[in-house]
Amino acid sequence: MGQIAGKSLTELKRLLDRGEVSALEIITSFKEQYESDRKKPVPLNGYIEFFSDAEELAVKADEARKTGTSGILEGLPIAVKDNILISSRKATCGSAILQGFTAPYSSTVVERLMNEGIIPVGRTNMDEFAMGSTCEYSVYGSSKNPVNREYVTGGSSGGSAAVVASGQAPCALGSETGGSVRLPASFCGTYGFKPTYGSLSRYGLVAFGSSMDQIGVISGDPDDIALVISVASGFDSNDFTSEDVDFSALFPLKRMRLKGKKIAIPEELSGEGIDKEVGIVLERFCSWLRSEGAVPERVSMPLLKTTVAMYYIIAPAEASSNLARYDGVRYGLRDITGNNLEDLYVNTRTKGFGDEVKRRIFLGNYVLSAGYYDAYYKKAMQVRYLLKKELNRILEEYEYILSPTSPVPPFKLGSKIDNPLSMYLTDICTIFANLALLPAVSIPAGTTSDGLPVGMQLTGRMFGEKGLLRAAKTWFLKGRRGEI
Amino acid sequence: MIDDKVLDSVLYMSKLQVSGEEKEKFRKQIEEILSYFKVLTGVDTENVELSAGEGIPIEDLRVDEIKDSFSLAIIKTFAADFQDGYFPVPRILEDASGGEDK
Repeated sequence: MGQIAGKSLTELKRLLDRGEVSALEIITSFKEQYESDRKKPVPLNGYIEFFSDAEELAVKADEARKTGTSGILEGLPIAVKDNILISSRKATCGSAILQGFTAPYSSTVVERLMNEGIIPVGRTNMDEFAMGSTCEYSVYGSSKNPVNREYVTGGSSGGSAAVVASGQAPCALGSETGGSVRLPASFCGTYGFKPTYGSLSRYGLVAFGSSMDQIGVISGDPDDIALVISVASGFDSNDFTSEDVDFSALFPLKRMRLKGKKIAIPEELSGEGIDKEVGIVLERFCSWLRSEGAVPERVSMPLLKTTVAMYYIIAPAEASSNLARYDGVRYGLRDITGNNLEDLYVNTRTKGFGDEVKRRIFLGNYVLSAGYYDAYYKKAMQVRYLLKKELNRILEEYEYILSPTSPVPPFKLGSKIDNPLSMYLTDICTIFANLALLPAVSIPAGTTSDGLPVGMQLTGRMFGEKGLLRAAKTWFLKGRRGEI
Repeated sequence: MIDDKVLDSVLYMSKLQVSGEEKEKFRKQIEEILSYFKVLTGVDTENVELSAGEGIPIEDLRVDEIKDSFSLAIIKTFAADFQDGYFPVPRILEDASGGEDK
């Protein structure tokens, strides 16, 4: 059987189904991996909390398997980002303002997975309220890249990527508003998937930018992602932006025949502004696609040059409204040092939010203000409409859009933390999928000369998750056979 | 680009404070970001309508019926201060006598 920690969810499911391993052995193994890392001089800091009763739940799962009452995911572990609610567990969004908050209900995605027996093993670290690209803006401190601990994990779901890449969990849930699953997956060398907006319910995902927020999945194996999506997707009456899609037959993934498939490579995301070593990995990935019979072609998509501006207007505008609820009255931090209600609001929020969240709330209120609304918010929404139209037109002709997941490889901790605009530009390759509501997957496609992971991203048509994940699986199988 | 009046009024709307020494750094960062947004001005949007999306037909919305919500016992766990079914807050109007609020 070999070592458990490090195996994928799919492999562990097979072992459990055959009775070759128990849920308790699995959970204990991942817990030991986490505990041993915590003792290192520089721990990864991927988990905020590893649940103390995880092993107890594993024992119950083993009993369910014996009595034939088990679900299809019975006893399998998953790590969950700190902004996705699990009933009776703490949820803080990596923020001081939510310290002590306990979720009164589970998110629909977690509930559907738990109904099939999955065991959430812990809460993972994240940029505060998912606002960040490095996982450094967390009240718990930064997570570290398992490949080199002096480097960032990418964000905001950096904790989720770190625990998967280091074998502390086989699979993790993250969340995306502008690339927060794909970017850390790319930086840590795992697969990261953002479903089409609406494939997964947002109920119980703490709101940031509601027109783009979406739960995503990180794993070393595309089949794990398919398994999770197959169980968790579909309409939810608690989220009317969720869609009545049926991905129940997504798992197991078949290999994709890429022969003759046209793939668009945006000129704007493959030339100037893209790191040289990232460009080399892109070229190698294209060579592989050609060897499979696919037809990658450079295509000009000028609006992709404007996506960072669009996103950092629209997302903060939505965030400024969504985060208005943190006022010290009903839950979370409450600073009562002032004299009146206004002081309560201002002191609580000033003390509870970090610098990046404050910047985005400010930006959001600014772009929505009278006198600035037309120039910023209205303009961004109009360009977003044009972007959606343009990308959907391109995806009628091409099967996928291919680009690097990030214009740069992972960078050193602290190197961009005081330069927000430079940090925002890291998202240039990912945010178009969020703005246009499209599904996208980051694929671990190579490394730099220093051994740092580089991800390539395939973006597909609305609700084209099957084709995207099958393409990712084709790459995965190639790697497994040592052909890349 | 952002004068004190605008900075203070947006901070007021945001219910946030930025301390004296941090204010200039904050202003500079915001100005740099706003300046970058100018990249959008090059896109012709003259005939583009602003739409919030397709919307949901009213007949597809869920039935408007009362469902169980959180019990008072659960709500009580949210806040440090919860009394008789209410969240107490400091007084809204200043106390003219300067007395302290609870």
